[in-house]
Amino acid sequence: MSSSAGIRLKVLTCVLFAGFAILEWRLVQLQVLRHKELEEKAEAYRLTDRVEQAWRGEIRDRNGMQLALTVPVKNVYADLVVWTNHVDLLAHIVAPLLGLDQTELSRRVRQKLNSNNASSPDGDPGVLLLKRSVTPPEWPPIHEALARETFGLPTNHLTSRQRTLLKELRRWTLFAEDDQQRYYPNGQSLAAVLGFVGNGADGHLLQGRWGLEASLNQWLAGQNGVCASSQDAAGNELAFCRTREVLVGDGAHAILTIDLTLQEIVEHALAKAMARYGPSSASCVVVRPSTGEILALACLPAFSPQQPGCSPPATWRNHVISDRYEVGSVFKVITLAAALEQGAVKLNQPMYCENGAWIYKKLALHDDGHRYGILTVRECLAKSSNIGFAKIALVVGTNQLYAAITNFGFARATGVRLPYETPGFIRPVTNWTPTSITRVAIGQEFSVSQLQLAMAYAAIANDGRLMQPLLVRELDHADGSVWGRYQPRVLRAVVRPETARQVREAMRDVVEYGTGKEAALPGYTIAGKTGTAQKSDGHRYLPGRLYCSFVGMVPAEKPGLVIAVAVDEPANSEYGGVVAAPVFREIAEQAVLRYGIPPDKAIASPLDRRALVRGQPNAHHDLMAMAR
Amino acid sequence: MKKVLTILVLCVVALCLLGLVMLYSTAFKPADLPRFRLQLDYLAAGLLLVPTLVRMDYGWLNQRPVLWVMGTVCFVLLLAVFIPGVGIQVNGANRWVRGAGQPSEFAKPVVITLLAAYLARLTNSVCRPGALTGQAYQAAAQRKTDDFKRSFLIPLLVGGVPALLIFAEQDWGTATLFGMITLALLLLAGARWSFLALTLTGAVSSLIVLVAFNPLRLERFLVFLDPEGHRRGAGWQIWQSLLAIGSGGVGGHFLDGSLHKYGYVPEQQTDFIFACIGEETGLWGSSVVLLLYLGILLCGLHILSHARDRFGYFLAAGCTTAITLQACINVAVATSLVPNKGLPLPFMSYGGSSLLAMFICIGLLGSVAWHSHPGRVPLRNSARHQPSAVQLVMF
Amino acid sequence: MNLNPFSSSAWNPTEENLDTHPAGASASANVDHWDRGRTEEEIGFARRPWRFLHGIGYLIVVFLALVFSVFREVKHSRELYQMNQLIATADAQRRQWQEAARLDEAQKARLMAEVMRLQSLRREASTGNAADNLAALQP
Repeated sequence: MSSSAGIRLKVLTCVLFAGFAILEWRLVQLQVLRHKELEEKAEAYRLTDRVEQAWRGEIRDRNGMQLALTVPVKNVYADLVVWTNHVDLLAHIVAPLLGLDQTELSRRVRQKLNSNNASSPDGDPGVLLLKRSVTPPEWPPIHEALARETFGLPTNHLTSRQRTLLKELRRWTLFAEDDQQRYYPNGQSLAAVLGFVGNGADGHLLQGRWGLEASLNQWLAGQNGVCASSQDAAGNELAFCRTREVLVGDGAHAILTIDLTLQEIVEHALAKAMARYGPSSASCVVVRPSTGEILALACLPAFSPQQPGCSPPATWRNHVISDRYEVGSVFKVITLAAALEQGAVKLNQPMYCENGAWIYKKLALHDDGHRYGILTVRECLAKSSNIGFAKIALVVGTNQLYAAITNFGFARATGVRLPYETPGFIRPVTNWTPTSITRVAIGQEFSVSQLQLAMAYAAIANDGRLMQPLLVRELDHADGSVWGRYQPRVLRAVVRPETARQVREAMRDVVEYGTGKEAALPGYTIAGKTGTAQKSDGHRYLPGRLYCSFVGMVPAEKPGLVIAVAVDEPANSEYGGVVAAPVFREIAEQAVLRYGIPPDKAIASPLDRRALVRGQPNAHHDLMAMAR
Repeated sequence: MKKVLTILVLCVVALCLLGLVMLYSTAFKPADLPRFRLQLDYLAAGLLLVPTLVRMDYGWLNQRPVLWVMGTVCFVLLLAVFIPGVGIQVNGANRWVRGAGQPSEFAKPVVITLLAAYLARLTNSVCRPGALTGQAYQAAAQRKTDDFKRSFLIPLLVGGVPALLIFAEQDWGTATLFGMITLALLLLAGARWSFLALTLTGAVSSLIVLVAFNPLRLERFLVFLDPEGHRRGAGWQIWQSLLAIGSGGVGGHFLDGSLHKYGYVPEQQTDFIFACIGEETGLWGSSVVLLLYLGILLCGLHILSHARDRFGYFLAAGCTTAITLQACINVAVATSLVPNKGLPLPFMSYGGSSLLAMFICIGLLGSVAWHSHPGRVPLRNSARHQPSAVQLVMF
Repeated sequence: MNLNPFSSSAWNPTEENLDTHPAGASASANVDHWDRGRTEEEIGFARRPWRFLHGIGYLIVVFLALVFSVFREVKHSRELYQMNQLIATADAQRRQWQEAARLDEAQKARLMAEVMRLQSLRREASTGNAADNLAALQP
């Protein structure tokens, strides 16, 4: 026992000393040898790169009415780490809270878990998006309901494992992340212009996919803020560890030249035409000639930018800028302008219209069944004589006509701030056939977009100055201060003011006694032109498929508005004067009230007064019909 | 002896001070400040308690009435945790008694005293003073120790029953500590190596049985081998502790702000305060802490080798072992060398019962030191014929 | 039996070493022993405690300096964290306010659109009167 006691003490001492030695060695191992590795892994938990989402800017009309704005929403996710072993229980609890179907939810969660297991068995099971666009007021009650939920566990006497489980379930069963949703309060108005958004790339939540949302996306989207910092275990940022910060730049607001009230007037008028004539589409653009501003642009049938997927993609097309048509007789105004500018003809010069049948270079030309004899140039326009204008064009000459066409801005894109604009199509003058000039003069054998046509008419309304179409007037910073204004831009002077005045005078006749009588507005001088064009498939003209249009300006003397209406393939093969001109009148009637354009024509005859009753053509029109 | 006592007290004070600073560091939320203040209060109480205990003569504890009273009170308190009204349940574990703290902590000095008293009486009762010498004495002593019941079983029970009660509290760590202290004291008292080996294997095998056949427990038990692999589940705490300690490096992060303490290590104010020490002070600080505990160990060894009597010897041995073993186990857990035990770090972890119990141990140690002899004093019956039962190589 | 634990004579007389050492012998006796007078070797012996105290003193100073510097940095860290809490609350409030303001904007836009719709309805219903208005404007 004696020395063994000493040995025993030594044994105990050695064991304890060895313990300390091992601990010291372990500390060296951790803090010296593995220091870098452990520090990096520790930082991996702590370092965060927080992105503050830039708020997408609004699109407003010229009076500040909101056309598109962004709304905060939440996306609700399920953290699959806690769902892994309790799929059915949690689905049973969560489904009524979110308004989802329980079996479907279980199936989705299981499917996601299985696919995750297949791809990475040891990794994070990840998250599953359960419901998008939950409004912010809806979320807190759901969150609180989960925080009070017992999940089938007993209410007291829980083991520590059960307590941890309960805490995890309450926190991570559902969580919400902020998202942005685009809201279009005006329903289907201006849908083709505004376009729509889709999921964003490059860290932005929304990205414009169509229309102005796409072409202005760069300014609307703004710039995300970044904050490189550290976080504590709960995920809260430790602000004193910020290493890099870029402040968020919210998106700019776009103020358009569109007037929403006028837009609604236009859409209502087009809707009536759609109901009455059943065309495949109807479109209209209203331009202010002095500045080139587009005051309204409507295409029907429209879609809802809120849910573009619910309508066929054909409705998404902006017919005014993306589709090109052979416009037909409306083009005669341009031919006339070219002729007058060149001095080739005068307004009262007589033209012989061959009694309705003419063969020029082996190609027949007729006046739509009419047999006109001698008509003045004015009357040719008013009565829309093809033969008359073919002869006018011959006087003008091929090259000059082509030059006039390009001068007026056809055959190239107008540069309006919308995507997918078509430049139209016209063959180069060298490829024209010998008879092309006669066809081109009356608006066939080449195609233009409705906007190009409207801008050309606007040039005539603007004393010969061609303006660039202006859709976006201003860009504002997110706080409302002005960032930049777009100024109206004169592209060039295509004709002299005197020429333009003469053309407008001739156009007045169209409405007074010509093909455009339906467009007449009591008290106002209207200058316009009808067009009824047969559509072609590239080789031949298709019978029964017409493109009916009317482009007009009011008042005729110093026009404040140019309104271009087009009805594509009306069901009953009507004339442009019948289908499109009334739409023009309806729009013009309300537009002049809105803009306070004073009447410039006395209501002279009692017959006119009778025309004040809506829906009845005036007596003059009846007399002419009897004369035919 | 005064030097040794001074060194001992200085080590303890240094540990307390460092512990306070670390606790202050982990109490970064305003809601945690009351804890810090509470710790200060307990430390102040300890500062008053220790000199009192040192001045007191520890031999007073060696009287039967005192021992019986202490034992009964301790036993009652250990049972009281299971009574629903009196015991408080936190996280599913019954460790606290309303108004009396954690009985398992106070049981430490009590059980050490009981064991020391029994073993002292046992070793003193080999024969009357001076009756036997030399070989005879050795033979008599051998017979005594061969008496399994008296020499082994009873002390084992004295130490083991509280351990089992604590085990039933789900506090496996403290129970294991009790077992180890009992075995250490039995080792010092001269129990047969075979008995010790048998007991050790018995305990280990029962542990294996308890753990291995319950897969959940087995997984949690084995987490310490691969904390990184289990970092998403049961190994989170250990893994974060390793990360905190490792990222401390050599110099520590107290200058540029330790960041891992912001909530990443659970229980970092109690069981895992070493993680905070490791991160804040790095290798040099952690080594200083280990050095301080080593200092307590050496002082304790010196004290017990100069104890006045066997009771003092065993008392000093028990107290030293308790403090040092607990420190070693806690640091080993924090560095993922042993499975998670749930033992606080003596003097540094937040926790009133633990602090007071440790101060009592230090007080008892100091009392043995204060009432001891300056030189190497041979204990009775060994003056003439045997080399001192207590001889240390170092001192 | 004296039950006063602070008296060193109060312990159980069955305790050993009574014969070898008198009751009350303790470390304190050493001090008395010293004071009885200093011999040469006692003075040499007295230098060692002084050196010991000196060494301990240095260690204490160094240790306290280290602990104090750690404490100061920890205090600084805590202050940073308190400020961080302020920033975090301010940030959270800002976000909440912004979200509420944006929801209000959306609500306002919805109402304005409703007003527009009603206006256009009224306008459509009253276009029959438009021509009368024109007549009224005539000179």
